[in-house]
Amino acid sequence: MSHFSTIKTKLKEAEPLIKALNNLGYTINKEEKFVKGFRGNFTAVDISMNLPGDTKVGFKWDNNSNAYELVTDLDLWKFEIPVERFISKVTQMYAYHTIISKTNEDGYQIVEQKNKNDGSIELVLTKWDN
Amino acid sequence: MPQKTLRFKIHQDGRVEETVEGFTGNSCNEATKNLEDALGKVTVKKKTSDAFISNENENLKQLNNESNVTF
Repeated sequence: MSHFSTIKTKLKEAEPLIKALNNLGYTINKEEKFVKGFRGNFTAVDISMNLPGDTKVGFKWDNNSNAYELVTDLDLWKFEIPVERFISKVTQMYAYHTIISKTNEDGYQIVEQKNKNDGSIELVLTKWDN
Repeated sequence: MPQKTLRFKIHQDGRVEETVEGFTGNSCNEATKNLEDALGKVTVKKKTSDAFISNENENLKQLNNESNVTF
């Protein structure tokens, strides 16, 4: 039997999230674990970064959604792309790294990878059954 | 020794479409369960063409059409 699924990606694991952020060229600040917002308010986070334009963002584990959530002060957002687009890019790259890592554990190999004109990434992986 | 194939389309917003081919019985569900759990929430799941051997023609026609639209 075969199936077709659509999955709404959530940032559920730290490792592929960190890989995704590195892959997109963002540098994680390993010493600070907080995001400083307007009026000097601090929010503790699990992953902290400075985006170009000195925009501070972080990701914090959220027990309600069971996923990492973005923490930033939108009043101080100066990064070249809007915050929604930033989250989308991170989520897309998170999905990519999660797929590569989980399928590799199961013995699959990439046979095709394409960046499509609509901005999507297509991946084909195969393995021979023993 | 059938070849097992996983196809993914990762959209710009992070939504993932996954097509799983070449499995027998329900093993295709087990094959991708860990991955689906790690990715997030499955919003749509359908059996595709080669799962229809024992299904009605009505379903076959409908689902084949949907598969063609996606890929």
